[in-house]
Formats: sequence, structure tokens, C-alpha cells
Amino acid sequence: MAKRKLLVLSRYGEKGASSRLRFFQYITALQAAGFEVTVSPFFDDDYLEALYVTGRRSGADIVLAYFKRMLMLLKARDYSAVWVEKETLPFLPGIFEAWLSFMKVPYIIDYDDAIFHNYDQHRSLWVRTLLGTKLDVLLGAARCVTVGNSYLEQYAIQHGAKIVECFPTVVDIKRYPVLPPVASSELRIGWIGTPSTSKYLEIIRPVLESLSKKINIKLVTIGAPDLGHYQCPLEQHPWSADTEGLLLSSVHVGVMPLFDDMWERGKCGYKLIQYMACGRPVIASPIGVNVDIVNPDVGFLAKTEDDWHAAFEVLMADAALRDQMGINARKLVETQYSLQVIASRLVTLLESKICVA
Amino acid sequence: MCGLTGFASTSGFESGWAERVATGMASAIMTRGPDDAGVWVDGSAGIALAHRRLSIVDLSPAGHQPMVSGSQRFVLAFNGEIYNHLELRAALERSSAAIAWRGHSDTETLLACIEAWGLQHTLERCVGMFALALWDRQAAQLSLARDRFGEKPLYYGWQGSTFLFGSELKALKAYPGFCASVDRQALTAMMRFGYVPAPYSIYQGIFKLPAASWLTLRPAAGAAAMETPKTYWSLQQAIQQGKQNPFQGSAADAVNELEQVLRQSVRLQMMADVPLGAFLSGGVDSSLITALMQAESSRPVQTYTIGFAEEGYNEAAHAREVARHLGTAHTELYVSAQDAVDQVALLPAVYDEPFADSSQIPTMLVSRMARQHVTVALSGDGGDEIFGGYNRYLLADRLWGRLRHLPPTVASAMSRCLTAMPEERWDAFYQVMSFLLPQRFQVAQFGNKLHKLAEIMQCGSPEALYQGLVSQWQHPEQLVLNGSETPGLFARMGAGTSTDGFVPWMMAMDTMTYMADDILVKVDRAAMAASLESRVPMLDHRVVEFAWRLPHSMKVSDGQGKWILRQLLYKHVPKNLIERPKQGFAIPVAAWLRGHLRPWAEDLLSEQRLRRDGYFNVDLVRKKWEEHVSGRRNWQAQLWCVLAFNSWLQSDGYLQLAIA
Repeated sequence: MAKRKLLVLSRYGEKGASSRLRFFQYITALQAAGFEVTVSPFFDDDYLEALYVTGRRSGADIVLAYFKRMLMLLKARDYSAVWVEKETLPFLPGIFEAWLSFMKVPYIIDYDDAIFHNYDQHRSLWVRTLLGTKLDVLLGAARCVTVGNSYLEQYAIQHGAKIVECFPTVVDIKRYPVLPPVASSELRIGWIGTPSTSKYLEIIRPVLESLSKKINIKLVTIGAPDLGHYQCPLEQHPWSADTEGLLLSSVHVGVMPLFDDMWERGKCGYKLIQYMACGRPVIASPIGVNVDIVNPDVGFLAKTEDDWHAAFEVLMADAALRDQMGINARKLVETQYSLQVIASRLVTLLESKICVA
Repeated sequence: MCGLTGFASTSGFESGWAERVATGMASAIMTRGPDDAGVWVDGSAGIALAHRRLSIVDLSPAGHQPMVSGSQRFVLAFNGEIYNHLELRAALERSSAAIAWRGHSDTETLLACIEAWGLQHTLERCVGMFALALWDRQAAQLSLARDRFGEKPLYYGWQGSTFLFGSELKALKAYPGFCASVDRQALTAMMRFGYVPAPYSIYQGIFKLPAASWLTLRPAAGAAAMETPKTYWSLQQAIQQGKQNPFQGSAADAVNELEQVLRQSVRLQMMADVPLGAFLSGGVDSSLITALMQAESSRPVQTYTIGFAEEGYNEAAHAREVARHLGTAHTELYVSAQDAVDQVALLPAVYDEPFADSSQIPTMLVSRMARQHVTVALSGDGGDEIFGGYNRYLLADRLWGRLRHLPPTVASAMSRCLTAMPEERWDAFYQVMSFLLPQRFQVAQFGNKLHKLAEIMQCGSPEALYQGLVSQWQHPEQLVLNGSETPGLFARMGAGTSTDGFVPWMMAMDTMTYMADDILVKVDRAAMAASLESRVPMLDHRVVEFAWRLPHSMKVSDGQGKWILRQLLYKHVPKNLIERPKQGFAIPVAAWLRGHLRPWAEDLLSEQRLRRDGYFNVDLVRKKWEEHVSGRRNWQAQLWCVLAFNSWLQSDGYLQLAIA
């Protein structure tokens, strides 16, 4: 069998969450299966670190990134296949993916969020006109499209993708040991995210504020900005890879409120999977993939404030239910949302798509 | 006899959660104890103990476990039997103030002894088979301990900041989020021996507590502070003491004394508040145990045997003769190849650590049959190791006597000659010629033995010869990808065992390795899967210590093993009912792999699966499989190891979809 050389065109280096979860964490399994994997991120880790520190993007770095990516595409012929995160060149027409097709290099494209709404819902008419259908070209020519949920799957099918495979965003269960919950008289409600996604917490803020007057609860955030204005007991932690597991294990229930909007429907529910991997029950808005992940054995879907209210009260009152849901949740992650299970499926898929070339 | 499990954490935890999790872990080993369940948790100390009970002695709630000691200091979860617990009670009553006994269970006795004498001294005074977990509330200390020969299992290991333990791996795996990779060194050892030798388990970071040892830890101090297990008894020491204090009497005296010691063991092991019987194969060991039981009992002893339809593998007729002579209430189960083949699907659930002794299948069948009538069954296991019954002792001794004079090149050439003819042809040849041999030289599976002989002719030392004899794969490191042999495991044990001669040395090694990790595992899991308690009278340590005081000539003599057991047996059963080639519970695996089991094996050994899983050298396994199926060679032992692991791996599911 000829050597299978796979070129991975990720958006970021390993420090970028989506690139890490959708690409980097599979590399070991791909190599074990005999793939020779070359990764070429669009933006490297230095760019991302600078962005985190300064909050600004360097124009020169962006130009350099485009240039580097174009060079890489010219070399694509040396590989058996190319596996692309979202698109090869953001905000440029799909001629480079067309180039891949022209060179007869099979490519697989992956979506873990509704990136197409960057174009088809853009406020600029120019962008909507020039790029609104960009992804249709990409999808039509791809050997296969991998997506993180059924909303993205539907979109890909409707826009010309021939083969679409759904791969949830998963966790490496070895990184999430289940720690026994700490004895506590309060219900510790956990949330993990970034400053940009903390807006969703506003959905449950009134519920938390009113509940805290009746029962002993505490909101525990990991990675959120200062929420000092919330009128409820609060414990805030910065995010770090080292403390993430321990902090997640210190909560009794994990929450994922979401607005009901197009962008949110394309999300992959990663934080739910993290709470569940730690053996904790979840409460989530019934938006997009959340509906697929959360079943009555592992937690609650809460649409209205009353739903949230009721779910918190049930979990506060019934520790046994909380424990059982947490144990079920971990099991669900192990069997359906773990790298350990999904990696072999992904390897098989890539093998089948590449070997026929 | 029961199952125990639990966990301890470096910090306190929510008691409700711990109770529910510990209950779930215990439920995973429910067949070990279907009669009762109990959990004891101290959330602030971070400890949870759980127990499943098979009620044998003291069926009342007074035997409920985990049990708290009279002073409230100790909490005990205990699996097994302390056969001398009434003697221990008497000793306690003599030495201290009268104890207000709540019931008559051995668990209660054990706790009182631990309070009075401490754990180590209690273990030293116990006669029995057991595994236990003891929580000392005062010292915030957990102790695990196991009987002298490893009759009752106990696994342990850390998962993050949580220490897990349990009678079987199933219990540990039921802890939420249990996650461990296959230990490739353990897998390599498993391919050599057919079992994973203690202290290793198939998982990295999870261990078996070695026989005759105990382990103490303070959970709060974490994994780094944990000490290695200590021993309270050792076979090596027993051998030394036997040498210093050899038996001085005549052969007849020795037979009489053995009768006393063994009969005492049988008598103690017949203690039960539930129906009790014996496995009877018709061989020396099981016939002797049955005979002594019958001598102790006023009613017919219940005996059980299993028969196979296949010619050459059937012992049922011999067992029936012995049973008739002894006047037992005998039950036979004749099974077809299909019945046995049906068990194969159950193997990974029953043996939750990969285990490749194919006699596990008849053992499972006979256990299930016995359980329909009795709750406890005595077996003759241990006789071969303690009294020198394996053919390999005679063979190795004779071989080494000759081999050591042979130049290596000649030995190697002879070895090639023997393997030039397939085992089946040797068998055919043997069938034609066997009438020429006296009966005591007749052996079953002649071709297989010759091929084994060929492999071992190339050994350069008696230790290597022995290792060759007990190995399924002679070069497992070539089979297991990224595998290596556990450095020094075998050599360390071998060097620490000082005996007078090669055969006694092999017997001692077998007792510490093969018997502990193969024979006793086979019997415990098969019996426990049927909720049957198995007991092994040969393994009363006083029997073993007596055996090591005897001169070797009373064990292996005149080209025959177990001399003294035979002499004792002849007092109860005529010689002509016993003398025949030794067989054991062998089943025709070689033929089944080419027939009934072929689709199952084809699937587990498919090139695609082997490549995907990434544990074995694919070409090597495929070559052996193709040669075996074609009938040119018999690789049943080697293939059974790979099959046992692969079927276990398949059942282990998501845990092992390998990511380095």
C-alpha cells in the first residue's frame, strides 16, 4: 500500500480550541493507522497568543498567513489528500479549493460552526453578493464533508455536498477523570466559556437571581469576564488547561444557555460534553445540537425561565438524581462523544476516502 | 464467599454520591454475592466500602457487611472463609475478656482478632482463603490483604486522586470514568503464560495484590506516598523451614500424617450452613478429596462431573467408577461440543481480565451444574503443584538429565526433526504404536507434547527449560507490537526459591505463578460466575508446609508423581480405578478452531481487526492461524491466547480503541 500522506490545513495551531478539538487531537490516531500527517495552520500559535494578549490583529501577519497558505496549496499535489478546516482562505472566493479539484487532489472539509453565516448573513451587500455562495462551490467539489452537528449537515447537503459525515466535537476522556463531588450545602452551578460567549449567561441571570433568594445556589464560572453585577452568589475562575478539570468537577451541574439564532444552531455543544465527561448533569437551551446531546437521563432542556427554574429546583432537591444523571452523562460521553470512540470512525472514513483515489 | 469493592479519595466527598457509586461497583460483581449487599461510607474521610454477600456461614443479618468492629474503630469488607475461625474465637476468649458475639460469622471473628492482635498477626493466624479491605477510622488508613496462595482475587490502583479496589476488574471499571490503557508488558507476559502474572493486571496502573501479602495506605497522602505490599507468609520460607525440620518417620508414617493433616483441612472446609459438594474428575486429587469428605460425612457426599462426547477427552466414566465405589450421590453432565462452544461468548464477561486456559470452559459448565444442587464445592486443585503431579516434572527432569550432556548443535538438529512431522501425524503414529507401551507411559495428546519437547530442546539452563515448558509463545516480544518482557519478574522469584533439585524448584515456581494466577483464577471466576463457592483443601497452608517437609522421593518417585497422595488414596479407592494417563479438564480446542469455533476465530483474527487494534504482529498471527486451519500444524495454545485477548478487547469496548 502506498504511503498515505495527509495535509491538514487548520485555521489555528494547537492553541486554537476548534483546531485542537477538530484536528490536532486526532493526529496520534491517524499516525498510528499509518498516515503521514503534515499540519499547516493558517494562523500559528504566536499569532493567537499575540491576539489574546493585545486583543489586536496584526495586518502584516494576516498578509503573511494568506501568502503562506497559497504556497502550501501549490504544493498540495504532493499529498494523497487535504483535510481543510472550514475553508482554505477566509474571505477569498473559492478558487483555491477549485485549484485543488483541478489538480485532482481530494479534499475533505470540516465545519464545526455555521461559518457560512459569516458570508450569507454579512451586513455588507458586497460580501453577501461575492461570497454568499462561496461555500457551495467548496462543498460540491469536496470528496467528503465532515460536520459537527445535524444543522451543519443539513446545510452542507442542501448546498451541494455529496457525502456528509457527522462527527461530534469530542473530548479525550483520559483528560477528564471523574472526581467525587465535594460535600456542600449549596448547589454549585457551573459554566465554562470565553468572554465572547458569556453573553448567553444573561439568559439565566434572572433565574439565578430570583432562585438565590430562595435556595442556596452559587454560580461558578470558568473563563467568563467579571460578573460582579450579578445579584447572586458567585465564584469566578480564569480558564487554564491545568485547572479546568478540577474546577469542572467542583460543580454539581453544568449549564449551557443559548439564544435561538442561526449561528447558535451551528454550535457543537462542546461545553456540555465537558461537564458530562466530568460526570455532572447538565441543563441546556434546546437549541441546535443541544437537543441531540441532552436526553432525560443526563439532564434537562430548558426553554423558558420557568423551565430553568424548575430544573434547578429539581436538581437541588434530589442529590440521587443528580448523581445518577452525572454517571449516565459520563457513560454517554464515553460511548458517543469521546476521542476514544470517534477517532477510529474518523480514521476509517479518511482511509476510505483517500484509498479510492 | 463474596465480592468486595470500594474507593478512597485524597480528600473528602459527598457521601450520597459515594454510596451510589460504591453500590454500582458492587452490582458489577453481583454474581459473587447474590444474597445481600451493603455499603459503608465516610464522606469526610473520603472512603467507601461495598460488599456483595453469598451467605455460607451465619445466614442471618448478623453476617451483613461491611461490618464495623465492636469498638467502632475498624470497618471490614471481606471475601472468603476463615476455616479456623472457631479456634480463633476460642483463643480470643482465652486471652481477653469475654466478647459479646453478635452472630457466628467468620467476619465478626476476624474483626475481633484484628482489634486484639492487629492485622498482621491476625493474618498469620488465619487458615483460609480470603481477600479483605479494612478501614481503620482512627488512623484514617486502608489495608488490603489476600490469602496465602491467592485463592481470592483483589485488584487495586489509582485513577487520578481516587484509589480503587475490588475483587474483580469489573468492579473497578464500574467506577464512573474508569479509564486505563492496556499494559503491553502485561500483554506480552499474557502471551507467554496464557495469564497476566501478579502483581500486574492487563491495565496500566492497576495491580493484583500478590498472594500472602497486605498493603496499607493513607488515602489522604495520595498515590506517591503508597508503600509496596508486605508479606505475612511465603512459600520460600516454608520450603526453608521444611528443609530445617524434615519429616523423620517412615513412608507409612508420612502417609498417616498426611491423612491427618489433609483430613483436618477437609473437615474444616466442610463447615457451611448451606449444601456442599465436590468436583470429581476421577483423577487422584479430586478422588482423594472426595474420599476424605465421604469419610467425614454420615450422608452421601454430592459429587459432580462433566463428560464430553468427544473421544479421548472424556473422564466421566472414570469418575463414575470412583463415585460408585465411594458411595457418593453422583451427578454427571454430558455436554456436546456446541454446549462448550456456547460458553465462548461468555468468557470475556466471566474472565474480565484476558485469560487463556481453555479448561475454563468445562470449569464454567461444571460449576453451573453444581450450583443447581449446592452452594459450596470442594476441588482437588493444588495437588499437582504441591505433590508433584504434572507430567512436565518428570519430563523436564529426564530431559535436563540428558540435554545437559548434548552439544547445542545436536539438540537443535533433534528439535528440527521432531517438528518436521505435524502433531496430528505424530498422534496417528502414536495410536498405532501405543499398545507397545506400558500403561503408565501412555499420554494424551502425544503429538502436542512432542512439539513442545522440540521447542524446549534448545534451552541452555534448567530455568530456561522450565520457562519454555510453561510458555505458550516462546518469543512473545515478537508477537506483541511495542511489547517487552517484564524484566526480572521470573528470575527474581526463581532465584529466591532455594530447593533441593530441579523438580522441587519447578513445583515451587508453579505454586507461586501458574497455580496462583491460572488455576485458582480459572476456578474462582468460573465458580463465582455461577454464584458457587469453590474451596481447595490442598491449600490449607499446613498441608503445604507438611508437603515441603517430606523427602522429594515421597512426591515424585519411580517415574510417577504424587506418590504419597496415591498411597493415601489407595486406602480408600482401589488402585485400578485410578491408574491411567493424566488428562485434566482438557477440551479439543484444536479441532474446534477448525470447526465450530472457526467463524468466531476468523472474525477475531481477521487482518483488518488485527491492524486496527494494533496490538499484534499481524503477519505472525495470520501465518499461525492459516497453518492451524490447514491442519498442517497445531497452534491451539498460541492462538487461544490471542483469541482470549481479542475477545476481551472487543468486550472492553470504547476503553481500548487505542490511542497511545
